[in-house]
Amino acid sequence: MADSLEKKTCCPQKPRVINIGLASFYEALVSQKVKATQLEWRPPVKQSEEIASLLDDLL
Amino acid sequence: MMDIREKITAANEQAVSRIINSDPVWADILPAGEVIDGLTDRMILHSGPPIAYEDMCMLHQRGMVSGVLFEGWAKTEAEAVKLIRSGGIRIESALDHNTVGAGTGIITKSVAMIVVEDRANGTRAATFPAEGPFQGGFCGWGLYSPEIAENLRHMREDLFPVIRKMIRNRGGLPLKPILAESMQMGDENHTRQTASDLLFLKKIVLDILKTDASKEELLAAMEYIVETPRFFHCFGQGAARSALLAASGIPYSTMVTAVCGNALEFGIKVSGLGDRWFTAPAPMMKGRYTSSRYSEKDQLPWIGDSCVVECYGMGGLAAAASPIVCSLRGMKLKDAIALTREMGEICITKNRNFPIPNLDFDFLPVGIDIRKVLKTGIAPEIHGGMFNHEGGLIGAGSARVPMACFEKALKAFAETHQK
Repeated sequence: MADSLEKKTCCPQKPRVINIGLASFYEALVSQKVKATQLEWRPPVKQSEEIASLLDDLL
Repeated sequence: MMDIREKITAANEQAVSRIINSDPVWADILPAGEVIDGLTDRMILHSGPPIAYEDMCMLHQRGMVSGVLFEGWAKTEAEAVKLIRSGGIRIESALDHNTVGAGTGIITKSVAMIVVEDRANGTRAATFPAEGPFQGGFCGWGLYSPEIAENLRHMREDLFPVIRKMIRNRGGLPLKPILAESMQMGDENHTRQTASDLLFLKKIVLDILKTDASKEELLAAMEYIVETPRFFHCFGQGAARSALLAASGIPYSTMVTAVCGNALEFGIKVSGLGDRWFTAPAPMMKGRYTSSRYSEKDQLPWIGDSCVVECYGMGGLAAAASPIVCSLRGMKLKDAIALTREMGEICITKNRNFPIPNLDFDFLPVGIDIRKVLKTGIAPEIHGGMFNHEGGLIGAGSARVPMACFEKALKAFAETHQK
């Protein structure tokens, strides 16, 4: 029984995780002594073509 | 020949330096009619962008009626409403004058105002003081009653002569040192003034005792200052407003100089665009209510001009200075630090006057740039108090300035400056 469970798990070895986005997921892993790295990332900003064009000119 | 980006950079450096180098000093207490430019007889100022009486929320409409009764322009509420609807009262935004209106921001010519001079930039701003046991009272909450009328008289005739004498005798009180030190002691100077209240009191207590007032007059003045919660809030707003007046109207600057709401619309002003307003629907706040019986349906959309302090680089921008305020929304210290770092992405520079222990003595960001807001998608964080529809204070929290305000402002900026 234990063998079959072990075969079904997605992480047979100790996982090493790169977490993108919500930092609380990263913190939960670290608190369980899982090796993890937090990658700071945000989805690209959605702008209208007009605003994007103005920003290209002004910024 | 500079291109437009270089012109913007130079203008923004000039605008933000007016804030950083400002020297706001509490100089006096004067009637609003003597210190607010353009505040004439039969005129009432209010918070937020301009709005017609018929479109106002109940709080603002009630404040208009209160203003008419306070000045004696009508004898009854019905007469006051009739006078307002007939066009007999001029109604204007406080932020279109050299003042600032927290809460409902009701200001008429006879209201006693705290006068703040920016002695580096040569500007002068006025803010109304808290009303002791009535807190927001007439100006902040738009209320009027025989008790509030008597308290306003008491402040004007009994308390302020003593306090005015004290501040004139000492030649004014510099406010920036109090702001700077208090933000090393847990205040962000929008929602929390616990440290600045104490620092303020320490600065003035001996000077009040040195006046020739009687013991009873001294006790009354001291009781008013000590017992009024967040007494320093109006001074912080005055300091910010006086500097932002100096930072307004600089051609090519994309720096935000005003952020406010009238419970219907939210508006911003931009230095290089003068007194034009750019508005969007007023946002709701998220935070902690004073009672579990309150929820968002009880909450009025954003009302008030007190975000003048965010434009000065305090409040929501100074979250790292006040994890205590941020904890109202369940945030931890690291979240508060991350929030100030995030605000740094949309600001022109950092204010060397405000080193913060929680940032390892790095400086607070200052000078919100509309271009950076739109480029990053990060809207400015603003702190404040939650009002219910009847005008009661039901909590404290924060909101984000609507992105549509910045989109409209950038389009207007391009039309004005790219010709």
